[in-house]
Amino acid sequence: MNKRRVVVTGIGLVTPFGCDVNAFWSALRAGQSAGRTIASVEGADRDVAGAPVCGFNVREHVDPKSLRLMAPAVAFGVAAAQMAAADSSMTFESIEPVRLGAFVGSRGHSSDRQDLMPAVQRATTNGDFSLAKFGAEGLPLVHPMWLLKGLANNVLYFVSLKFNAQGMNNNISMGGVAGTMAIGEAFHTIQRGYVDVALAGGYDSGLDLDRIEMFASSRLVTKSTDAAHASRPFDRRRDGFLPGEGAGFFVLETIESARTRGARMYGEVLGYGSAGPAASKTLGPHARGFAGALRAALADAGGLRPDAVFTHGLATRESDVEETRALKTVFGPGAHNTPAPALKSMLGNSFAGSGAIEAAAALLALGAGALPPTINLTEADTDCDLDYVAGTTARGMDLRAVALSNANLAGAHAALVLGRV
Amino acid sequence: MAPPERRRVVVTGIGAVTPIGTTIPEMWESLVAGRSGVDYIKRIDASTFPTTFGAEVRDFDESRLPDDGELRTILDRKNLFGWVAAADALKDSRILEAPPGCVGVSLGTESRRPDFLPRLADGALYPGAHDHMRFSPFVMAGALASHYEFTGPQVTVSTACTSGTQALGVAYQKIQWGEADAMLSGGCDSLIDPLMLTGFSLLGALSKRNDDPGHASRPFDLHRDGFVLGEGAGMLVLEEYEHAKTRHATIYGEVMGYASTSNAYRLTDSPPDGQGAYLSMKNAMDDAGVRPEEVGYINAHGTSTHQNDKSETAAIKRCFGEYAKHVPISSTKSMMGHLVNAGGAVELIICMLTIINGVLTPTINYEVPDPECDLDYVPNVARRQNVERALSNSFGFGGINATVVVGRAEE
Repeated sequence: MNKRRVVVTGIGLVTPFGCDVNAFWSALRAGQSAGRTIASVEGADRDVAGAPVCGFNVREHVDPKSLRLMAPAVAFGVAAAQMAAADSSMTFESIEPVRLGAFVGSRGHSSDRQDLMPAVQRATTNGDFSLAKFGAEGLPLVHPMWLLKGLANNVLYFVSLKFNAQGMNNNISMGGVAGTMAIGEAFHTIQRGYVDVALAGGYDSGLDLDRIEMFASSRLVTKSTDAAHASRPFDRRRDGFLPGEGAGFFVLETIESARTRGARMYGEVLGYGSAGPAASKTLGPHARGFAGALRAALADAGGLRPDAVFTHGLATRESDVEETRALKTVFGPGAHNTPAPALKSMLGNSFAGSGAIEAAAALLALGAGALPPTINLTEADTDCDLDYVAGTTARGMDLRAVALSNANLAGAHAALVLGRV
Repeated sequence: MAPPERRRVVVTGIGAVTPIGTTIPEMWESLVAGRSGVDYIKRIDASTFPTTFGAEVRDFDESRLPDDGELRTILDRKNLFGWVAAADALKDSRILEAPPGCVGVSLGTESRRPDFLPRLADGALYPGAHDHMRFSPFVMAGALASHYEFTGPQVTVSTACTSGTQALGVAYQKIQWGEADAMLSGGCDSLIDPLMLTGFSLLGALSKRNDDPGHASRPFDLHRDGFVLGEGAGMLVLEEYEHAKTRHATIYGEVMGYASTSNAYRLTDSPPDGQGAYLSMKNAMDDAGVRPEEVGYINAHGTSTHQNDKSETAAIKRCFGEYAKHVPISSTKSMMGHLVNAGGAVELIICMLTIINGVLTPTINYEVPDPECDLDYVPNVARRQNVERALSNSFGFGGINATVVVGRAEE
């Protein structure tokens, strides 16, 4: 089969380490933590440990009229896509619109409660909410475009509009694997000839009130108040993920098109696979799913062996053990010689944004010949005994191809294989 | 034409829960009879909203729900519809008796919160430890994969009204290109939800024919005034052709082509020339290697909004040229309302049944022709007619369009 080769020629980032690609890479290389104590989450009754986006001025990226139609995290995605487009130096007007695709790893529909509060208060008497009163008196107090602001495919819409991307598209609302899958689906869509160029990425926030409350009674979020040391993938004292936020976007195109226009190539997408678990009693990341997705991606890449694996490394008790088991299953004894850093130790978990942000890091690592470390890993868990590049400094290493592995909380897994061109 | 290495994909199982029937035979009987499932909303008090009616699923047999207690805490109403439709589709396909190596799940859905407003009032939005799962769009795919031990790809698509069709398109491509051997695919949704009633009312998208709900959904009719909120689920088993043949499966038909496009125009309106919809149909037919004259039926998106029906008609004319006047088109939303994330899945099932049964389902409530919508919409009564190839269209907010081409499976 004569498959087309697909390369990455633009990266756009909105992250806890800022929006500049070089600054982002420097922070990862230096093993910094993006963890902060946040006192300003609107409506929250306590300080929150998290990894918030820094150095992002939304007004530099989105006009005020459009911004009114965007839930907060949506702007991360739109801005990252625009930065990726600029970074690629692509002349988008020269592409036939239907040959330009867009693939988004999305948070899904979100309801900004502040927009509904006045109407809800109007309809509530002595603590009792009346839907009839809401319909009669509350409705006029809600912004007419309220539904569109939280539209699940809002980023996809704005990205398509901005770049006149009329071709094959998708909006994947898959939590922790969404960003990874958006890149993978875009890759296959170009490789198989449905489009020639695609914008692909993911965005999300774990730091708005909705997400914070949603996870408050789960055992999945770290209880630590020491924000810089709260995210501890594979460490014995890990107690859950540190919520983060952000977006990563990419311009993907065929290698021929990149060569013709003399574009800088960050790397090549070599393989993509996704997998579910085979029967696990509780939903969530599972060794069989991690292994299944990784194997599928490596097979898709022609059966190569990666020089390193950028792990999901969620820092929950279960996920890290399952992922370690999976790496041993896939690589056998070679697993101990396959460095497996966890970037969430520095960046936290930004759900649908994570896979895309981590893919950017993996591409930059290929170019730099260095692996970022897993920070806060000072006391290894006996069930997590691989080489996670523990420490606070990057490790220089000749990297030809690396894998990226992710999972979501309902047991979907996805992996990418990225290579040096 | 499709390159030779692409594998053929057939449908071997179907299941649906809709406002006009909670099993495939019930739904089909209603469709052929031209029965409306639209009435005043009973499950919530919608009496003071600009629109007081919808298409609710009634007589939903609770005994068909999963008996696993944990699943019941995770799955909400729309997902329970999906669960039942999936169980029916899998049973119908008998694929679990001889499953292929790699089975995946691809769904169109998103999270819903019918209790959001009262919860907002009492300040406890997420009291349950499972709430981060219950209100995740992707929990349904995970729950199905885990329960049925499916190891293949899991996909959840959220593009509003286009989700179901896109999820099916992705499932089709995954089998075609060898990423999976079979996929459980479809969509589920419930719009009988105060938030959705609020949001769509404010956008002016809903019909306000409060004195006559049964005639409110009237796609392509001159006096159409908006769509009708519905709920339900549609699920299909898509399977690689050789595998289906080897195990002597009942084959409903073949999935022959798929495309999605974006209008890159406005958030809610479609362009008057129907550009994105035209490209969606054209690319899907090119993908299928099907010529316009071979298409015997189009299940239209046909929402019953002024803009959609006009734009869709323009797109069909552009795509089919002179033949547009001869291809029967119907909108089954005239009977069951708009199932949004589930719509495309139920409508693809209807395309399959149309081919199998040789009966075109009607567009009901079609009374006064609109000069701008002047095609054959199979008005009001079902029509006996042989159909070999059919198209299912879905177009959504955000300007996303998708089309799937299906046909009778030939040897």
